[in-house]
Amino acid sequence: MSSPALECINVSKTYFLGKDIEVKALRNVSLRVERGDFISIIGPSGSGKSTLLHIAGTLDRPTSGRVLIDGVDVTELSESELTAFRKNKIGFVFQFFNLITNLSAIENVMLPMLLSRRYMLKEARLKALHLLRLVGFPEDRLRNPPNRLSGGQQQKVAIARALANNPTYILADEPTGNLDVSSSAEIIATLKLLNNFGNTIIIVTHNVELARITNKIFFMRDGQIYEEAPRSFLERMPMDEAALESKRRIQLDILRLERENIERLFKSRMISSESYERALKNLEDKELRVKH
Amino acid sequence: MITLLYLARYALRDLWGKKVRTGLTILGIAIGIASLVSLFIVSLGLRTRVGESINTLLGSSVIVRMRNSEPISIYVVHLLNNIPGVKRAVPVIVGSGLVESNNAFILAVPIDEIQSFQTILNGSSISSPNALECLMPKDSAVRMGISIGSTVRLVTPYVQEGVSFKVVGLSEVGGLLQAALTGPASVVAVSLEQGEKLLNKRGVADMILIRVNDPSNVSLVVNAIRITYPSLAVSTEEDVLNQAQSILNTIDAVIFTISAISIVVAGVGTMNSVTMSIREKIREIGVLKSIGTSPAQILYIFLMEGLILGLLGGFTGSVLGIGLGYVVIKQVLPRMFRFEINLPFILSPEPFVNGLIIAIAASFLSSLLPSLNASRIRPVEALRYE
Ligand SMILES: Nc1ncnc2c1ncn2[C@@H]1O[C@H](COP(=O)(O)OP(=O)(O)OP(=O)(O)O)[C@@H](O)[C@H]1O
Ligand SMILES: [Mg+2]
Repeated sequence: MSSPALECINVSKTYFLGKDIEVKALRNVSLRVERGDFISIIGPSGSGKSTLLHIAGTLDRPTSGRVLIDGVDVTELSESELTAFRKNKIGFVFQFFNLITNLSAIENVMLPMLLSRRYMLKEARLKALHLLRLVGFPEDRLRNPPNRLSGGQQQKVAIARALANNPTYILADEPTGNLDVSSSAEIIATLKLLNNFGNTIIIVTHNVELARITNKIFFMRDGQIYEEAPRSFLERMPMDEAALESKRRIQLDILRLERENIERLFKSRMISSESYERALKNLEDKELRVKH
Repeated sequence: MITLLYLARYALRDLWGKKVRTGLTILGIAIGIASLVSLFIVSLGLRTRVGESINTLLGSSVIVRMRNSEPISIYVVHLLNNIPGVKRAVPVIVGSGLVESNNAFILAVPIDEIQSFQTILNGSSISSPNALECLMPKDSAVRMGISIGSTVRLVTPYVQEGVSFKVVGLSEVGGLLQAALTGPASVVAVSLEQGEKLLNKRGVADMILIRVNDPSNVSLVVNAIRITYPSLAVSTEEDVLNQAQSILNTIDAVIFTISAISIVVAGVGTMNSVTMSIREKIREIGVLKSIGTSPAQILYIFLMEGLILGLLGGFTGSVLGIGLGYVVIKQVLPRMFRFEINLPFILSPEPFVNGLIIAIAASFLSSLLPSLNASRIRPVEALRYE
C-alpha cells in the first residue's frame, strides 16, 4: 500500500524549564512504521520513549520536524483536527490502564465509538462485546467498573478500547509495566495475535519478552533512536490451534460488523463513496490477513 | 445526540460517585434558593396586603393634612365640603393612650364613618356621638380578657384619671398599614366627640378624609384643593401607594441583597465542587482527550455537572422556600410582634420558576470558569499528572 502508517521525520522535542535550562528529550528522531508492523522501542529511563509516543499520538507537538499519519502531515493541524485524528486513527494503551473510572468495562470500549458518531448505540455495544471477546476479557465482568477488575483485565479492556475505531496504529506505553508475569504473558499474546490479524502496533517497553515478539526493535538513548540489528529469533508465539481458530472467528465477526456499519454509513450518506471504497478495501486486506 | 447523552451520564455518575460532596453542594444551593424564594413570597404577600389595605381605607378618597403637620381647624372641614365634587369631608383625630394600662392607639371619627375604618366582627358600632362606647380589636380584647359589654378605662396625657368606656364591638385586627401608622399598639375606636375630649383636640382634626362624588373626578378635586388651600397637603390613594411602594422597595432591596449573598454562596459552593471534580480527574481528562474527546465535549461534561447540581439544588430550594414562606407568613409573622401581621400566602409558579432559573444560572456561571480550564488542559500534561 502507498503511504506508511506513521512517519516521523527529524523530530526534535526540547523542554524549556527556565531561561537557560532546556531538556532535549528528542533529537532528530526519524521513524517509519509500515502498515502491519509490530515494533518496539526500548531504552533507559528518561531517554525520550514516552515523549516520542506522545508526539506519534498527536498528544504533543514536536519542537521541530514533521509527523505524518496515513500520509497526512499532522504537524500543523489545529487542536480540533488533532482530536479527530486521535479519535479515528490512533489507539492508546497505557501503563496504568487509564480506564474511565465511572464507566463499566464494556462502556469504556463503547466510548470511542460513540464519540466518533459513526456507530449507533446497539452497533457500538455489539462491536465492543466482540472486541472484548477477542482480547480474552471474561464475559461475566462486562458490567464491572474498572475498580472491580484485575490489572490484567483492565489492560484487556484498554486494548479493546484502543481497537474500537479501527485505528491506523496502536500506541502502547509499557503495557505490561504494571502487571504480574502471567497477566503480562496474556497481554503479550493478545498483542501478538492482534498484529497477526493485521493491526499495526508500536510499543514502548522494558519487557524483553515483549520486545522479542515484535518484528523490529528500536533502541533509544539520550533522545536519539537506533534500529537494532535484524534479529534471527523472530519467533512465532506458540498458540493452541483451537484457541487461534476461535479468535480468528471473532475477528472475522468484527470485520463483518464493521462492513455492515460502513454500508449503513454509506447508504445514509454519512461517508463519501471514496472513503467507502477505501474502507472496503481495508477490510478485505484485513480479512485476507486473518485467513492467512 | 447519543454522544451528548452518554457524556451527560458520565457527569451524573461522577456526581453520584461522591454522594456526600454532591449532597452538601446541593444543600448549599438549596438553602440559598430557599431563602430567596421564601423572601420573595413574603414580599409578594406584603405588597398585596399593603395594596389591599390602602384600597379599603381610601378607595377613591383623598387624605388632607396640614403641610406643617399641625392639627387642622374643624372649620376647614366645612370649607372643603363646599368644594365642587366633594361628597363629604370626614375629620379624623388620632393619638396615643392606654387601655387598661396597655399601649393603645386612639382613632376618633364621626360615628357614621367608623365602619369605613374598622370592620366590626362581633357586636355593634357606637350608638351615639356622646355615648361612652368604644370598639376594640378582637385579638387585644381576647388577650386582655375583655368581651363585649365589659368596661375599659382609657387614659391619655390629657385625661390622666381616665374615662370608662363600654366595649360595644370587636373589630378586625388592623391591617399592615394601620400597624405601620400606629406601631405596636391596638387601635381603639371612639366617636369623634369623645376623641376630642380624650385627646384635647376640640375644634381640630389631625387629618381629613375626603370622599368624592365621582371616582373619575379625584384629580379635579385634588387640584381644586391644592389651588384653593396651598397650606394643605393632599394625598390620593396613588400617593399613599407610592409612598408605601418606596418603603416596600427598600424592603425589597434588603431582600435582594440577602438573596444575592446567598446565591453567591451557592455559586461558590458549586464552583468549589466542580473544581474539585476536575482536580481529581485531570488524568482522566487526559485519557478522554487521548481517545478523541474534544475540548467542547470536556466543557460540556463539567458544565453538565454544574447544571445538574443547580437543577437539583434549585428544585429542592424552591420547594423548601415555598414551604418556608408559608410558615413565615402563617406562623412566624403573626406571632413575632405584639400586633398581628396577617399577610396573604400567594401560591404562584413565579417564585418557583424564578428560584429554579436563578439556581441554574448561578451554577452554570460558576462552573463555566473551571470547566473552561478543564477543556484547555493539554493531554500530555494531564497524562503525566500524578
Ligand atoms: N513536561 C516536561 N517538562 C520537562 N521535561 C520533561 C517533560 N516531560 C518529559 N521531560 C523530560 O524529557 C526526557 C524524556 O522523558 P520521557 O518521559 O520521554 O522518558 P522515557 O524514556 O519515557 O522514560 P521512562 O522509561 O522512565 O518512562 C526526560 O529527561 C524527562 O525528564
Ligand atoms: Mg515513559
